[in-house]
Amino acid sequence: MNKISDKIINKYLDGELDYEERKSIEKLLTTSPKTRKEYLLLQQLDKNLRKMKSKSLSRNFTLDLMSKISVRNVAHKKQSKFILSILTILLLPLLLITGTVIYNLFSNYSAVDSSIIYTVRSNVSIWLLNVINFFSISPVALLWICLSSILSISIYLLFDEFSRSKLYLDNIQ
Amino acid sequence: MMILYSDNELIKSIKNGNQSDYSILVDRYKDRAFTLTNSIIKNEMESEEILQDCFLKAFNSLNKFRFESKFSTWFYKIVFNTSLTRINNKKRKTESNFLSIDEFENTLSNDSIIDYRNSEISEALSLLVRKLPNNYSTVINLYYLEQMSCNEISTILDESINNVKVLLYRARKALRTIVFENNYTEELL
Repeated sequence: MNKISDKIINKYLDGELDYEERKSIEKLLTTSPKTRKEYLLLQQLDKNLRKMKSKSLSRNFTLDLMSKISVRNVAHKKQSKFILSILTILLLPLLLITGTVIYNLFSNYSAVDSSIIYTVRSNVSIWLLNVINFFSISPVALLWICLSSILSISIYLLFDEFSRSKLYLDNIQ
Repeated sequence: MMILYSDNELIKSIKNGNQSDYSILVDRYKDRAFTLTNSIIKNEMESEEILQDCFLKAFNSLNKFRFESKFSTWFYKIVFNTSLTRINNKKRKTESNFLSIDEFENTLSNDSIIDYRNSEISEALSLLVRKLPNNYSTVINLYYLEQMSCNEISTILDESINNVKVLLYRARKALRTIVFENNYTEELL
């Protein structure tokens, strides 16, 4: 072997060669001044590259980043709350419609044959029966309950939003 | 004495809601990640901005981190991919090409030579590395600054281990050529 490829020289530098290969490289390094010079240059470069230092970023970088994360979290929570309130508003009419359907279903059955409703009623759980009885007291009461629920949730969300905004503004100041 | 928490301990704590622990991770990786970003982007202001994005991305994806690899490998992959995307977008806009090694050698003016000679060796080498083509400077930074193995680098770059080794050899060769042909041998080596 009269000349070593760069690949081999780099492998030698990184200690990736086996014993026999190392020995033959070392022999060549003593006999070929050119190869020796190239290797020493590479070795010195490797040594100096290991001394390289990172450029430092200021502590403000971390502080800025953490404040961005806080702001994002607040925004994310606000968004979740908004979606939740929309879902609640959509769910309540759905419940109202379902309740009305169940109510009508039982009313129709009783109009057709009172024995059927007796059979059905005997099969449903006590809990469901109580619910149906409760809702069948008055449709106006049912409507009132739904509206007051929507109102209560809206007031809670508005109050929560207001207090969060105040807290956020206080923190900024 | 201050207890040093491992990356995994910190991540578990952040996942449990201790958001402020993320600042420890940020402080731990910001400088080295900045060097990596800057070696690809080659603009300090832009690199800082990209790094902020990377840390935000990592924070938002922390729930997806399954402790299957080191946090550093996972995070540097985000940094590398984000920087590359930015470079590609920029390239599309400006059609500017990055310097090849030959072009780089030709662009070293006398002024810059004086600067290199006056600065410390490690700093001067960092400057030379930053001016190498992206793939070379990235490998050099990950290998020497991060002290990562070729295996870890291959995960970040999405390349085979052999390709990473070849890149490393070529990067060293390119640096050696630059140092040698511009007579920085005395100053830098």
